[in-house]
Order: sequence, then structure tokens, then C-alpha cells
Amino acid sequence: MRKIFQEKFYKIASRKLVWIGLFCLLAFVRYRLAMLEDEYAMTIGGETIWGKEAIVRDQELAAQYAGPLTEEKVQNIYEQYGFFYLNRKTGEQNGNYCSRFITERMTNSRQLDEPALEDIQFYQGADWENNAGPLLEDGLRFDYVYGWEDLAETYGIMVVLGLSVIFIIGLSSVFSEEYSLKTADILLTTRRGKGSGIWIKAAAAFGFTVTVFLAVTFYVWAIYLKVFGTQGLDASAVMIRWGSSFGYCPDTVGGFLLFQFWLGLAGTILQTAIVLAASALCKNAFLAVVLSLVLYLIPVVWLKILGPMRIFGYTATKAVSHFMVSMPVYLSMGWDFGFPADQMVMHLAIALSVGAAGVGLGCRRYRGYQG
Amino acid sequence: MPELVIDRVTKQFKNKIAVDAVSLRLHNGVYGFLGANGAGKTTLLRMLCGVLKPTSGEIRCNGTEISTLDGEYRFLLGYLPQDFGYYPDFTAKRYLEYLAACKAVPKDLAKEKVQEMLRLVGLEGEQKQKIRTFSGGMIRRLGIAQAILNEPEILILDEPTSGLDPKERIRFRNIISALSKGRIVILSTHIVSDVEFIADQVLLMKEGSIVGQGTSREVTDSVRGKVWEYLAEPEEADRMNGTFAVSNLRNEGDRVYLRIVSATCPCEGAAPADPGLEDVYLYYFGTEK
Repeated sequence: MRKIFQEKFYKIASRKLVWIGLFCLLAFVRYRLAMLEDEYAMTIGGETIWGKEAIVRDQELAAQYAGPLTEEKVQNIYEQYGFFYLNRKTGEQNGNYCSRFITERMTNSRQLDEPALEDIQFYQGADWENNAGPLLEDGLRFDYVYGWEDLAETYGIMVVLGLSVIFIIGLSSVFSEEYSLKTADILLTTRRGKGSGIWIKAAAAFGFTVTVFLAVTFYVWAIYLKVFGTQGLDASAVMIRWGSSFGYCPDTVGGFLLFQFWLGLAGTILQTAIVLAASALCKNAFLAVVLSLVLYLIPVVWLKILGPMRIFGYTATKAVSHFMVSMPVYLSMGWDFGFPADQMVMHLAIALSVGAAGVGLGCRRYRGYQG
Repeated sequence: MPELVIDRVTKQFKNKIAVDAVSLRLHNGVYGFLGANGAGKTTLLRMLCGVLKPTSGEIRCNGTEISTLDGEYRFLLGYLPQDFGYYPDFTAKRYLEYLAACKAVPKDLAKEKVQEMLRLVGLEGEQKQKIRTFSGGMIRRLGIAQAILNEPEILILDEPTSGLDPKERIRFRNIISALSKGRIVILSTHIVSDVEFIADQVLLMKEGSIVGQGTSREVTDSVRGKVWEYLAEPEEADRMNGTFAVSNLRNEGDRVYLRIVSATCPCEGAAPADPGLEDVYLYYFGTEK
């Protein structure tokens, strides 16, 4: 049994395209982080500092205000550093992480089109109550989370989507290759060929995706940890752009990143099950890749094009939309939708059912192969 | 020792009946299916392996339907398909070790068994080479090695000698003969000499049905009196070659020797000859003229 698992795992892992894809993905993430670090700037006392030194200074400044955010702290930041200013034409900037946070979240800067520094002011009246007020009232724990915000975007979107495509390429051959190489004829006449052998194949596919997913997660988190340290992981999740106060969202930044990880892992596992089914349905790996990609993209087409047309009426459209957001492409990005916890559980339950059906269909189809 | 019973087995693909109500009882020994391409040999063998499901009828092993026996039946089975599938990037050794695991060969025996099979088929020296570098004959030998890896009680070989050179064919025939004791060996081929040398029972298959069955001698005797020899003038030889099923034609001086398979005497002066299995093949499967 172990031998079959090893060989199947090796066969999936020995695909050059998989490793080229992984290398490109990780190289891109590393390059992006290197650029982020290089171009990172903060200004203090009229002096602009760049790179790692700027990050360290910003972290030191943010640490002085770490903990529950109060009006006094906001006022103090403003008095000390003023508002953050970025000239979008020249790229010239003035300010630091703290001033940037209050400027972006508590001032009219986002309502103005290319504002001059003197045009920026704190929200007034209802705008303050609606935008800045909740940050102060909800006991927001302030800290330096710049790196984690970037990680959430890089990991939650680019890495997870990139891995999905890589897994489609890597796993499409699990069953289909046995047909095209005609090894299915031999394997299906062996003692384990129609029973445990098939489940072991599926297990090897899951083992591969989970291993790669964990390894890539470890690598991406590690390189961000190396640059940004652990500061800010216990800050409030709403400090980062996607930390929603609507729907389910973990309380801390660290929790949010773990939430992203679990959703990404769930999406990957479901993706594996669907690709296994596609692989068993197709006579060669190329067709299996095409079918898997189509299945992967159907939810996007639904949510972006067909769903808004409501061609099936409101109730059916809503039901189908819930199904579609339970599919890999959206399941792994569920953190961006602000779904309530019960809906998240429902989506995971749908994903589990579809995944089980996918594996069952794939194994059954392969078992019944007749040439 | 297993007994295989094929009970009115039919396989239909859409409108084409590939195997038509075949019934056979197979015990120990070598069974050679002889037939032209498309006669239904491969389909029948694939059903015997459990790869294809019969449209109707049953295949039983020791009284139990093979699909009911499932893994137990496959444990007894060794199969070399017509199109032998392999992983090009695997070495011969690795491929056999993988199949040993699939065939549930005990782990402690597997390595030893793989070496034994590699030795048997003469691939011991190439065991660390990737299969993609193998010649057609070497691949076929590897196929034979995997088929017998689990010491199967039922060995099914579909066109096992295609692609082998004469030396390799002889070697293969000797391997099969040595293996045939206490086993059911079923092989399909259209290479008559393979069947002639090693099959205990010859089964002639045509258009999905068994049209003749018996020992090599019995089958050969079935066409006794239907094989003729004749020395013809060249023009006459051309005419007769176009009219009758000719199993041999060679120039002898200024005349042409003809060996003709015909139910009736083809011409005056033709003498009856001792039939061979090739004559049988031509009688049943040759172009009707």
C-alpha cells in the first residue's frame, strides 16, 4: 500500500510543469516582497528613510501607540506627524505608518481626487461617526500591520489562485494518464487495482496538494515574518483592509491570516476532488486540464455575468450563488465576502458534499473503465 | 487449481456483436485463441480479465461469478494486454516493484520476485534503465514479466509475441511452456507457430464465435483432405493463386509449387498433402475464393 502511495505521489510530484509553476509563483511572491521592502519609505523629522530601516522605524513608532485606539492617540499622532501625503504623480510621500493609518481611515483623503496636503482634514459630523467612530468605539487594537495587509492580499489571492492552477495541471493526469498510457488495463486487473489502489491514488493526490499547500504557506509566511517580524499579529483584524466588521471575521490579524489559510486549504482540497473527477472522466490529461479549468471558472462566470441577470428568479439565483461561492475559486476567498458564520458553515458543508461526490465519481468512473 | 467457465458470453458494442454467445470450460493447460484481426479474441480476453463486462452471459471461476470474486479473482490473474501500457519514465525495476504492490505480492517477497522475473525475461542487466529507452521486444518482455510477477493461476496473454524477433519468440514460448504447469494459460495470437508449439488446446475464433476447438493435431486433422499440392505452369499458377486460398507458393525450376487449401480438389493432378496449422488458419480465416 505504501509503495503504491509513494509511486503515485512521486508521479504527480515529478511533473516539471508543476515545479516550474511553483518556482514562478514563489519567485514572483519573493520578488514582490523584495520590491515592497526596497520601495518602503517613511518620513520623520523631514527626513525620508527607505527600505528595511524605514520598516523598523515605523514599527517602533507604531509600538508607541499599540493597544486600544483612542481619540487621544489619534490626536497625538496628528499633532506629532500630521497627515500622510502622497503625491501620486511624483510618488513623493510625507508621513509614516501611523499618520498614514489615521489619514486613510479617518480623513476625507479618499473622497478627494488627488488632494493637496492642506485639503485633507478629519471627517466631520456623520462622516466621522460612520467611518472613524467605529474604529474608536469597537476597541480596535492598534499596531503595525502593513506587512500583514500585504500578506493577506498576496497569500489570499495570488498564491491561492496560482496554486489552484498548478494543482489543476498536476492532478489532471492522475486517472486520465492511466487511460492514455493504457496502464489502466493492467492496473485494473491487479488485486488492488479496482479497490484500495484507486483510493490510494486519490489519497496521494490529496497528500500532494495538502503538502504543497502547507509548504508554500510556510514559505510565504516565513519570508514575510523575516521582513516584518511578528509585530501586529495580535492587532485587530479590521486594521487590515479586508478585516470586515460585517459577517464573520476573526478578531485579530493573526486570526484573519489563519482564517485565510483554512479557507485556502478547504478550497484546495475541494479543488483536488473536482480535478480527480475530471481526470477520471477524460481520456487524456490535456482534456482533463481543460475540463478542470472550465469547472474552476464556472462560478466566476455565474457570479459576474449570469447571476446578476437573475435569469432563474431571485430565490433560485440566490441558491445557485451560494453553491457557486462554495466552489474552490470563491471558497478559498470567502474571507473577502463578509459572510455570516452560519453561511460560511453552509458553504463548507456544500464544499464537503461536492468534494465527496467528486472523489466518489472519479474513483467509480475509473473503476468502471472499459477501454 | 482454478476452473474457468465461460457461459454463453456475449459482448455487443452498439450494433456490432464482438463476442457471440461463447461457452467454454477451461482447466489447467495452455489455450491458444487463433483468429484474424477483429475476430473478438481481445474482447473475450478483456472480459476474462474483468476489464470488460459481458453484455450477457457469465464468466465463473471455481463456480463463482468473477465480478463477485472481485479482488480474489484478480489475485489469481496475470494479464498482458495487446497494447501493453507502461510509464516511460520508470525504470524496469521500479515498474515491476510498483506492480508487485498493486498485485499484493508480499512486501518481503516483492524485491526478490522482481529480480527473478527480470532474470527470466532477460532484462536483469537493463533493470535500471528507463523504459522509454527500451526496444519493442524489451518492452514486450517487460510486459510478460509483469504478467507473471504474482505467479498467477490464470495467465492471459493477448498477442504476447507481437514485436518479438524469432529468438525472443522462442524464448517466450519456452517461458510459457515452463509456466503452464498447474495454471490456465490463455493466449491469443495470429502467429500460428506460437499456438502450434505451446497450446494444449487450439480455439479458432471467427466473427465472435468459436468455430473450431481441439488439440493442435485434432484441429489440423479437421482440414485433412482439404490441403493440396500442385506443380503448375507460371500462367496457371497466377490463375490458381487468384482463384484458391494458397498457403504456399514457390518457384521450382521453370514451374511453380502451390499449396492450396480447398474443400474440393482444385485441379486435375493436385495431390492431397498433410495439413498444418497454417493451412487450418487459411481454411477458416483466409479470403474466401
